[in-house]
Amino acid sequence: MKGTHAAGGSAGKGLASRLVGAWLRRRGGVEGRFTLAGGRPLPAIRNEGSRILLQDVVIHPAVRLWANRGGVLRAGEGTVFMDGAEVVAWREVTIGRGVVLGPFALVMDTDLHEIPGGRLENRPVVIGDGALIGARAIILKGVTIGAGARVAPGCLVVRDVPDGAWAGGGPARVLKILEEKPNGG
Amino acid sequence: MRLGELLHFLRCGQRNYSPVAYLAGWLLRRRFSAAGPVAAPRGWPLPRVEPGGGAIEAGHVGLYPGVQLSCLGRGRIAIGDGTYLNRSTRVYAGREVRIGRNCMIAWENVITDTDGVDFDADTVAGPLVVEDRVWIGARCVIAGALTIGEGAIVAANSLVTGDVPPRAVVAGRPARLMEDNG
Repeated sequence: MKGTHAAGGSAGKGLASRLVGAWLRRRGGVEGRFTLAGGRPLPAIRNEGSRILLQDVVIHPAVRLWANRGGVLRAGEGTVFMDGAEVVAWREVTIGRGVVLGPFALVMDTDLHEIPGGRLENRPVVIGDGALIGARAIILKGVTIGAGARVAPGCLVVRDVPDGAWAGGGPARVLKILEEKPNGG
Repeated sequence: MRLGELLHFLRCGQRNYSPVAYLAGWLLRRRFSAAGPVAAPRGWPLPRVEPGGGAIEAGHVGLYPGVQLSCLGRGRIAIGDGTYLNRSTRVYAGREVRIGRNCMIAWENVITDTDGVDFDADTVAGPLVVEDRVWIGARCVIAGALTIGEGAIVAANSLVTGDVPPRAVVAGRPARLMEDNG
């Protein structure tokens, strides 16, 4: 895994962004640490009696993290949330280490509303270490993205993606599986 | 603004913004390596221009609220006269993104010469070129080393990962040729 991802930029250098980060951390009840890339609009961290565990992640502007109804949101070291990326955790979203969520990517483990006559079903989402999620991709409930997998920009993922696979299309299917994992997984 | 720039501005003034927009754009001038009369019209947040280790050039350009121009590593961005980037459009350049003159780029687009997945400047294949008078609809992702030909139209919500011929109309994910624009 590469040490510093270009998407991380010059994260968290200014005093202002550190202060804002501390404020967001306290307000959102975040466990662990994160650095802000700086800039507006500020990220929104919404924690409604749930747990958000972040270990040394980089958060760009306009990111939204939302844990609700006892949901758990985890993200490992070196993970980067690029501009406008959004994670909705109503049950459990586990993001590994060195993952990059591209601009406006959306990860949801819930449908947010039940279909009339049905029940709301929340299923956990897992994103493996070193996976790269393309710009504006959408990952829905119950999906497991393998370590070192790549999800094409703008696609909708409703099925599991194996380790080291490239997935694309709408809805996404596996395009190819690499012999060697692109990020050293 | 120097006289030369003013003359240039009067000559190429295709689209007019309010004086306040030019003032807001003028506040951003130090972030560009070369800037014409940049306008940042109505609203908040101001465009973010982040050259990092690279360089950003812009002519008489309209940057709407929330637009972001970012260089990853030593990437370069150049935007021609008369082009505007609407609200919240993002441009990420790992090597080079060149946008021509009089382009209309709608809101919430992501334009990058990376593959849109790996935003690491080291793995960027090549330049992304948007030629003159291209019209890009809202919420597209344009990713990769590619050229969008002169006068082409990219429909809203498309994913463009390959070359688009001049005056073509493309749509869909991934974008396919719809018709020739004459």
